Amino acid sequence: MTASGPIRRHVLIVDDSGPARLLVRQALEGWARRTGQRVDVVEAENGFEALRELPRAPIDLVLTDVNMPTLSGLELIRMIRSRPEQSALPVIAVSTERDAEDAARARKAGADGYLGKPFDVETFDRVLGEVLGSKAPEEP
Amino acid sequence: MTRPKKPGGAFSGEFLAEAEMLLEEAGCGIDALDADGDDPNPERVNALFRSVHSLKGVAGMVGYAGVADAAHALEALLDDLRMGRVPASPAVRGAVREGLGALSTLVARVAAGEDAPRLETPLKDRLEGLVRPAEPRGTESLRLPPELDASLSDYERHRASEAGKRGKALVLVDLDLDFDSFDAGLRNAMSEASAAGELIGTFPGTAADPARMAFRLLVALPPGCDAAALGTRCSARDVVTVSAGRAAPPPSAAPARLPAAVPAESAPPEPGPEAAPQVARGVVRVPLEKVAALVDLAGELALARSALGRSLGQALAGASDRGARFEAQRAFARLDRLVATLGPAALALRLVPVETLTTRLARAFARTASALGREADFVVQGVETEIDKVLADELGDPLLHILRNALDHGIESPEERSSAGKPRRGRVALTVAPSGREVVLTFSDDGRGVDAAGVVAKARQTGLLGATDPDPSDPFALLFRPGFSTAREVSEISGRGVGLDVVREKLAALGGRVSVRSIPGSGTTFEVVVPMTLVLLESLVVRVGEVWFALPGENVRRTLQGAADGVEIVDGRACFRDGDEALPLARLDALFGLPKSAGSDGAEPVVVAEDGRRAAALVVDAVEGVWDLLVKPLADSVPRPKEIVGAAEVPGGEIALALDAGALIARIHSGPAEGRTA
Repeated sequence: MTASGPIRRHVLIVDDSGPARLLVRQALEGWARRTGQRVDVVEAENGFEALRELPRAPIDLVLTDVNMPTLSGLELIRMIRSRPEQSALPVIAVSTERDAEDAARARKAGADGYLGKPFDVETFDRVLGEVLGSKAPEEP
Repeated sequence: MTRPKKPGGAFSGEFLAEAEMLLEEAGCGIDALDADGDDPNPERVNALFRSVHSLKGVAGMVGYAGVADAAHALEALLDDLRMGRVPASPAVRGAVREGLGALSTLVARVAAGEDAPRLETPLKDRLEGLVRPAEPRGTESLRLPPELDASLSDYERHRASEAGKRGKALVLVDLDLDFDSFDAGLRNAMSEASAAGELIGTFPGTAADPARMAFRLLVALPPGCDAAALGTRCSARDVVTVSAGRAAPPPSAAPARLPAAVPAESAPPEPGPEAAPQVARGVVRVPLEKVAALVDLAGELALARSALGRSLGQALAGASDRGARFEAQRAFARLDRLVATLGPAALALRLVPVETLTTRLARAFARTASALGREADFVVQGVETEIDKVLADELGDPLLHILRNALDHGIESPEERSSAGKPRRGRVALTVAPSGREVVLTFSDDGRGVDAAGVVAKARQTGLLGATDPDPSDPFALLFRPGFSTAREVSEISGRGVGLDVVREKLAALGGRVSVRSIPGSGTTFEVVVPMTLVLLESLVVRVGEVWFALPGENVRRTLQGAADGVEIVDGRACFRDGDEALPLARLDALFGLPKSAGSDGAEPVVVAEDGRRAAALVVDAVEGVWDLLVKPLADSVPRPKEIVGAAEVPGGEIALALDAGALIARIHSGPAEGRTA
């Protein structure tokens, strides 16, 4: 189905830190403006909430913090990848490390992309572009 | 803009709140590590690592590079510690403390308004001299199922290998959980696993049914700990012992249970005594989940008691032996009293003195006061008041915000206070007191106060109030509207108008509310009211048209299909005959002015509601079911009939409006025209 008007992305942001969620959300909204898209953001404070939200809403992209108490981001990504209906869902790991080793850990758990905090606008746009490609989200 | 030009930018208030919370957690963590000595609890070390890691992340994102750098150095040391590359020696623990101290100093400098505080000697250089690496230790092969082995993180691998070296058993606990309640099941299993040994990691399991959630926990158990018993406590589908602990009996013993998915020497651990609960001076620590299970059971028992009461009454009505009837009634009355006391007694297990919370507030108060250059005392009364453990944890952030607000906007600088004829030292008093089933926390400061007229003027200027809107009856309620700030200068501590609306929202989510009153020149009082316990309310959920309603189970006498034959007209109005009572009857859709549903043919269900004094009958379109719901109050700004007190999410995602049975019954009895049915 072809949607007229801007592409609408449904994004789940997972981070136990409120300010971090706010900053990722801002970055995402900026990205949407620059690329002429619209984003609907759902936030989750931990892995449990994220796993609960995922089947509820039509999510096209997950941006998750790596280090979270109880259920870490890596544990969350492993869970997402094990669920057949979510196995192709684009997931970007967001972490404070900017080294290749940490990115490799996230990719090994099943992340499609990796963002080291703090990130600049160019990196954010590039990683989202790589992960989402030019693919429009599926219409619900 | 991803990275603000000025460090902190609009986020400095949030940054400080978060940083203080993380440093507080880390402070508790290092205290606990000191208590552990040379053999620290690995989950504690990891939690400490995570706090510092998160601090680094949030500092980096809001642009405080100096804080992020220092956190990075300490994080590297904690990573070495958790990975076993340095020992948990007193020197290393001292270095961790030193690092935390340095971070606290940096955060305090941010709080005091510095843009980019940075340590003169990098923390890395200061820590390096203090730490000597541990003897390198090799890793051993773990004999885990290949798919699990492939997905282990370095840390998980290290912990699993370490557990093997220490003679612990490695066990896989497989959970197969219903989607609707998986988080409760998973949390319970995780906390059971942590209590019995060490929870190394959580992995996906294989769900037979895609609508279920399967998890696999990798757990290290100390010798003598019964894996099967852990499985039972976790409600596990399966427990597989991957490698037996060194002190376990030889592999000739009978197999533990269930198919071993791994070619492991599945030597079952001795069904030894379960890990004893921690006992100290007459106190038993019990996981919250166990208390919740007890509370649930008490609730179910109360329901069973009601059902027994009804059938017993009917059975005895026909009994001829008066002596036996009297005995049965007496025995039931005793059961009734005991069950009635069991529920509150079980709930009381969740309660902790509010002191755990106020101690944390007092520490944060002292730090914030010194960062802002205020001289002020924090005086607390009523620390023995009890509050739900979960609430005590969740209330920290919103209450810290109120305190910070008092220090930042309320209490004046010492000079300003002197010239206003006030003592130099300001004072914030917190009084905690129970009030029925709620707890009231009152924060009073003796600062400059807030001028109601000024608040209204500000609201008009910012567009929160239209030019033609009348003055609100409670002008201070405007303070909790998003985007409102009265700070004359934008402050770095309380942020830029981000705040009180968030406080109100957070409290509302916890079932609480907040209000303010103030006398200009002499001070401001915040009153926070929260429920004493966060309890799920058993509710009957009904539907009229597309709207769902929830009625507390304790107010439902019965529900009946097909109202027609019970309806009669008494004194010109519709009544429902229930036994020998004629109860006033109303349609729920008519009461709330909802469009009349199509199928009003007398075959709809009738709910008989009672409030202890009287009863009334309600016609609905359908009874959807009975669930335990967390009812959240609706914001005051939502216009609604007074019979609707809140809203609750029903499993499946529908939102039900929560009805106040007393108000509803009164409304039906008062018999407004639209409440009648012909």
